[in-house]
Amino acid sequence: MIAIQILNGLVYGSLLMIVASGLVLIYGLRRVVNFAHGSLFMLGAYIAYAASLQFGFGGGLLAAVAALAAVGFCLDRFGFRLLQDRDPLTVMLVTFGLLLVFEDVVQSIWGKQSYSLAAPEALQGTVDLFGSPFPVYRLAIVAVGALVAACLVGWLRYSRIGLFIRGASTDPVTTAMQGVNTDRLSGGVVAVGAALAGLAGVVSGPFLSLSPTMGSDILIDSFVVVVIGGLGSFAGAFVAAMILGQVQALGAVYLPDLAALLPFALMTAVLIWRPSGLSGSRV
Amino acid sequence: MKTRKIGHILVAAALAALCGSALAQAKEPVRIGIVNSQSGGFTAQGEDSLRGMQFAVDEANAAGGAAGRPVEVQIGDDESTPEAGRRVAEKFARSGYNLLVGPIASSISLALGQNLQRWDALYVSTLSKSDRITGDACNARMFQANHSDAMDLAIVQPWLKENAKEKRFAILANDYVWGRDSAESFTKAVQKLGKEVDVTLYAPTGTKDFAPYIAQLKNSGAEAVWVALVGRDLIAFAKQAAEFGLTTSKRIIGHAYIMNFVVKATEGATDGVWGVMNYAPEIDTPKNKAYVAAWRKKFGRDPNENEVAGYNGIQVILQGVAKADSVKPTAVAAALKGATLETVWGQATMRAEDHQLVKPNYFGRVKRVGGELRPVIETAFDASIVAATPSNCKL
Repeated sequence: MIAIQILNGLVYGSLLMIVASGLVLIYGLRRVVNFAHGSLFMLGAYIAYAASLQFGFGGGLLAAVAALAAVGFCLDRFGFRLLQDRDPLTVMLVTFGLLLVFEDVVQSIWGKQSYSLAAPEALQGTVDLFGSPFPVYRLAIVAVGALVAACLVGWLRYSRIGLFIRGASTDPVTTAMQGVNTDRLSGGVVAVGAALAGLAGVVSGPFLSLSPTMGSDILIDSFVVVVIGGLGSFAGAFVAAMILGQVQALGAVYLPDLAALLPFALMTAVLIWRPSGLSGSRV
Repeated sequence: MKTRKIGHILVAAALAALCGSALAQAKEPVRIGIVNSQSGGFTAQGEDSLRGMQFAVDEANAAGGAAGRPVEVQIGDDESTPEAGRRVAEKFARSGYNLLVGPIASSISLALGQNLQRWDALYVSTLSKSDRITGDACNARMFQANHSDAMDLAIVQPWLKENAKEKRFAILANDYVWGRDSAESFTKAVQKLGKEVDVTLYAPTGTKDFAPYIAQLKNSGAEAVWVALVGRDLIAFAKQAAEFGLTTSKRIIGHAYIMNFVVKATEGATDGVWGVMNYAPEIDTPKNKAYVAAWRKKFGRDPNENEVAGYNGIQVILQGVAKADSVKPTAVAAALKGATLETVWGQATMRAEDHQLVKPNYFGRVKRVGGELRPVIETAFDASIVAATPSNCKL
């Protein structure tokens, strides 16, 4: 029973990790607390739904990731870049406005009812784990989460662009002075961040329902992750997502009366004892 | 001289006729304020119920109005919150649209109820299920045209007695007033039959991943699970329960579960789920048959429970106006009190003691009918069983 619950926590944690890593990327480079991230998550799920009707789940996944990367690029080019000298609060308000706009756009195209995105044929069904059936699709989510984490770490640690990104997120001005085109870099990074939000949206489609407000729901949990982990830190977001997944799964079993409160209690505790998050300010 | 006299009479008669028709035309229109959830948590249900209301209004106007009065509506967004709902309703009531109808959440209905006297308005609830509407918060100007929670729960025990072989049950409910009330009533019903509730779980509203709860339900010794979840939580649970094979290993019985919008949003995940149902298109009354036929003609499909609820709410108001031959809220309220109304469920009484519209209620199951998955009535309960609930309302 406890093994199953830990696995359950791992599944939800992986999902949160994918969403939160996009938030961290965007914050790292642009210092933008991106409230629109939730709506990118939702947009990804809807685009995948529409495309999957024609091309199946795989086609939907590709379409959503590609479309969201494009949206992310435009968001940076025509949004964040123009606003980079403004007060951070102004930019935050703009992203909040975008959240509402995206929700309305989706609502006017697909209506207010809920939709369901079917899991790919090959991942439907269950396997026996610890003596009870466990959905294969959920194991796949853990795998996708691990893959995303590995790719991001590899990209940031070992590639030349990764070096630039780490440099720019520590000090954008100095990095630019060294000859790095930080604007172009940001365009790419925000595109990747948005694509990750889209990916998370698609992946969560088969077990959540698609509704225009699904983005705001997940956004709260992702912000809790980012705050606990430390804004702008990957390792922090990764650890915090896993902790939060476990807190939700085990809290529901052992402290049911406090289950809804636990993530926020944890966040408050971190803010009091380590205001910069678990990882401090390391990238 | 004589011809002049006849001339006078003719002129007088013509004048009288003119006045008469002028009077008929001057019959005040029925002005209805629709307080609708167009944003926030209840938008999907809000959209459905509004479609039903609009249909009822169009139908009445096409038939020459309600007792000769044209029906006019204004529609506003209650943002799914009591504050916004109260604001919109007040604006409507003060601009003459004082026959109110529409919100989904009981909290909004109760907020309107408190102010009806002050606004000189009347309110008919169409989807708010709280017992308080006809209980301690009841009001001479407020009516509940939908099935209340008490009515839904009243049929659980008789149904369990006749239809459930299971001895041990589990409960999963949303952690707020409605979910807790539902869980407690179900526990009482089960215990009265000498059966047991093994485990009761409360999930916070807004839960996205139900896996931890599903694992506990599967591990419990219960043979059936009573589920009282709402909105997106319910849809997420339905999908995940099927994913984990809970739906096939234990019987799922839902409080407000087997509704069309849930079945549609979950792609086969609700197949075989049991539960309380308030409406199905196959209900065999002349009014329902006519309604379903007209609906199919316009929309090419059957109406769902939210659409019917909206339709019925408008009809209750219009029948009240016709009976009162007035659009004054106090007159309409007096006419509705204790009145027998024509509904899609057959003739129904607006109970004078608490303003609850008393009608039959149903237990059913989600099944495939002609290739389409939808809730189907298995057992119908007469209005007399449903209505046995006493109330603490002082009107």
